[in-house]
Amino acid sequence: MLPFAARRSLQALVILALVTFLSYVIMSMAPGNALQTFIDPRVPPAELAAAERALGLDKPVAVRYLSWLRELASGNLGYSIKTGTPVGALILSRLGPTLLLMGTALALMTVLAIVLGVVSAARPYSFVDYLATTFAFAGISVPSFFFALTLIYVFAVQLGWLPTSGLQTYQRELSGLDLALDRAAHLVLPVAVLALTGTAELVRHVRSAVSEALKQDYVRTAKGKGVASRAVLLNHALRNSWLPIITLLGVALPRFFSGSVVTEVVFAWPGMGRLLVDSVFARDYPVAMGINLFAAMLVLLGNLLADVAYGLADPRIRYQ
Amino acid sequence: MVRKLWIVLLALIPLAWAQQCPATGGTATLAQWSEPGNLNPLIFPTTYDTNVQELVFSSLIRTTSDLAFEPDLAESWTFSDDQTKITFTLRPGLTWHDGAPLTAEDAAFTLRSLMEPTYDGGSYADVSIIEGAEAYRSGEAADVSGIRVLDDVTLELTMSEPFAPALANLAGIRILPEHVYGKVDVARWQQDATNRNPLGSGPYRFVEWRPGELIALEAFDGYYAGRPCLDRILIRFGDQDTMLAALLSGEVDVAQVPINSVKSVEGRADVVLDAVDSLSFQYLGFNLRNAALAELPVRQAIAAAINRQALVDGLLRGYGRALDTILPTNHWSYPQDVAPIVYDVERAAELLEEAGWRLQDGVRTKDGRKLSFTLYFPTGNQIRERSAPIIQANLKQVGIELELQAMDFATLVTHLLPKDAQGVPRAVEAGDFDMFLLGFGVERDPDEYFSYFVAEGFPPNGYNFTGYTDPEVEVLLREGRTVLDVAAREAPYQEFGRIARDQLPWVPLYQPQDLFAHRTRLHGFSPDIRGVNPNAERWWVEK
Repeated sequence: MLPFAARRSLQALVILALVTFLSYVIMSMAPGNALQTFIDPRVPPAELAAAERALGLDKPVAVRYLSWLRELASGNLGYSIKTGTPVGALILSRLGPTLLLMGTALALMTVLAIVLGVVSAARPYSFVDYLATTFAFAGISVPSFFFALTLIYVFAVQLGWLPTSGLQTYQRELSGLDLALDRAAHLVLPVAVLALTGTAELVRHVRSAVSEALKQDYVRTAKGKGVASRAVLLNHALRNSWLPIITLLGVALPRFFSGSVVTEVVFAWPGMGRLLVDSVFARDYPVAMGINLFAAMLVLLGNLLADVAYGLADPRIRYQ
Repeated sequence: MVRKLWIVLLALIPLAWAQQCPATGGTATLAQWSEPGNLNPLIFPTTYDTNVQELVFSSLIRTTSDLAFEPDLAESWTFSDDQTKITFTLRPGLTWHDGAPLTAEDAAFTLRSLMEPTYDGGSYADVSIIEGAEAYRSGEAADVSGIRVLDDVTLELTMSEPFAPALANLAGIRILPEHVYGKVDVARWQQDATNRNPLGSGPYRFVEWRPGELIALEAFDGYYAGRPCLDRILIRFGDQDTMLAALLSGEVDVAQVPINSVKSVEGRADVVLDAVDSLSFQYLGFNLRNAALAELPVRQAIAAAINRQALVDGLLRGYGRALDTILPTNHWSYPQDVAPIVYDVERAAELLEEAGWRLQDGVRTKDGRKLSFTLYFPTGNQIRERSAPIIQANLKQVGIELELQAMDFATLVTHLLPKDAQGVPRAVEAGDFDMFLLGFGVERDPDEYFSYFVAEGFPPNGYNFTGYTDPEVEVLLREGRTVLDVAAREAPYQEFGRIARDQLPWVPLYQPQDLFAHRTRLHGFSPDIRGVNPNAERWWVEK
């Protein structure tokens, strides 16, 4: 296990270097820079050019990438061009809300997908199965921003049951349980969007993995031995479906992060996804690079976790 | 007797107060579409930054809603006879939000900071006319000869020549406290914590910035014009549609309304729609280095072929007007007698015929050249984006072919203000672009046109990407900056407006209104050409 983890970590470093290099080059290839998002007749172009020089924006891409890398090695992610804040601090300030949103949605999505997937696999072509299939189809086809705006319109504007956006209510001073409940109310709609669109895809895979397992000989044997059908389903079929489900969850993590970008923007959620969008529009490369690095690490971590979970789910898998 | 008088006076204060504020206390929440970047008002401020900065900071003077000047920190100012010296007298007893006294030294410090050799926040041009600025910036002089602090409340500024936009420039410079910002090297201003924790002397005091969420401000008790009526102002940031939904659900009190969503606000009992004339307009610009676009009849034909009223009715839903010259209609520089640009497709075709452009397979050609252009337009302003295909269809009717090219603003700028392979800004060439759609707004002074319409403004020295020159226009725009009397300045700018109407270096399209909406619980909200908060200290809310 240990040599395996070490080898994977080394691979991860190489991949990270490649990812950062490519994203740096691709971003820098886009014409224009942070200061050019702004023309003001009172600021002569020469003054803008001087400011660009001061920020090092006039240097070739390779030079800028290398100095970014050098800074990174000493733990410095650079400064945001738009706000002047250290990128590390900026990302940290957005990490909490993103983890809260993604964590809640991910947990809900996993439970929902497994329950719906198993039930529809156990009772194919039943009402529940059709419902789950329809739900999956709708979840995949409806764009999440449209779904999000519809939820806001119905539940916040028309019914007034839930807040439209933000992390909490700002006009009142809240603390303790009130604050927790208020935050929970603010979580409902964005979590619903993320979990429902995420579940939709996963549910189909869980269903096919479980129904595949249900066709196997060992299931027939268990049934033949008189094991209760619920026990067959949970102890035999589901247990053997874990591998594909874990793989999917591992892959889902980074996809989930990109899904949270749209959700965070629409719900004015103060997370990293929204920060990424803002920084890309403002051509604030240091911030965008910091978040890219974070997202790349998330992908690698997701895969690593999936690999480790394989071993736990199926003792036959050995790491060499 | 004197004591009695004092008692009467003291008793009158709450009365005066009550008249100004029908109710005190409470919180108003404003929504804006983007988070400010930096709350140091002297570092490349954007509109989103300014909306917050103008509540926290004050200037020496400020503009009024009809573009004159009124006292802010300075209660009065006088010009010397030769019009090169301005003496400002500050109000007595001014204080910063932390209670420290605000003096003429702070104003001098602020202006001098903009001339520091290491300052690169984009506002040097606003003070470069002050005598000795260049010498100080280049390190030749240890102090700025044109800035003199006569006493705590008197500041004397000497210009190197009479310069009409000087007051407008000073109105835009928010004064910083020397005891806070003086401790930070100007070169570090962009990255210093004061960016996100500003200290000023405006009606509201900065309290908190929650990244991605909001900025919280509270009433400043020591504000020179009296404590604001509200206790707190919150400025929230979020997506356009979401902030509008938050307004409709009552979570925010003020939101800007995208024109496409105006229907959701119109006719509601709990929300008031505020349509405000702005000083900005949209135009179609040309690269006059392109031989075909350099022909006046071609530009005239283009202007006549575009149905600008249809743009106003269809895209702006009537919230705006078609414009006949490239000055905003509500500015004193606008010539009321300007000849209207009439939508006349036949006349447009005639003009092209007369100029020798013959229709061939739907496109006009002359000497083997085609009237076929690429129109660049930046994304981000939906109305402008949607106007591009309409303009394309309008021009097709008269045989002018347009290829549309949407790009983000920063990319468009690389065409308008090009750089060479080494990244050094260079002159514009005929091949850099043909036509473009952009907006222009007079922020403070019509001198802002100078850099766009004189030869010395050709990139990389200025913003004349169109490449327009005209000796008469140069004279007029120079006169506009050297004559100080506003009434006397009307003539040159209005004449400039008439010439621009005739020569069409830009085809004026429309002047949209800015749409805001506010909840009825918020009173006194009255945005104007200066923006959303010119009178924020007088807003009050029903409890």
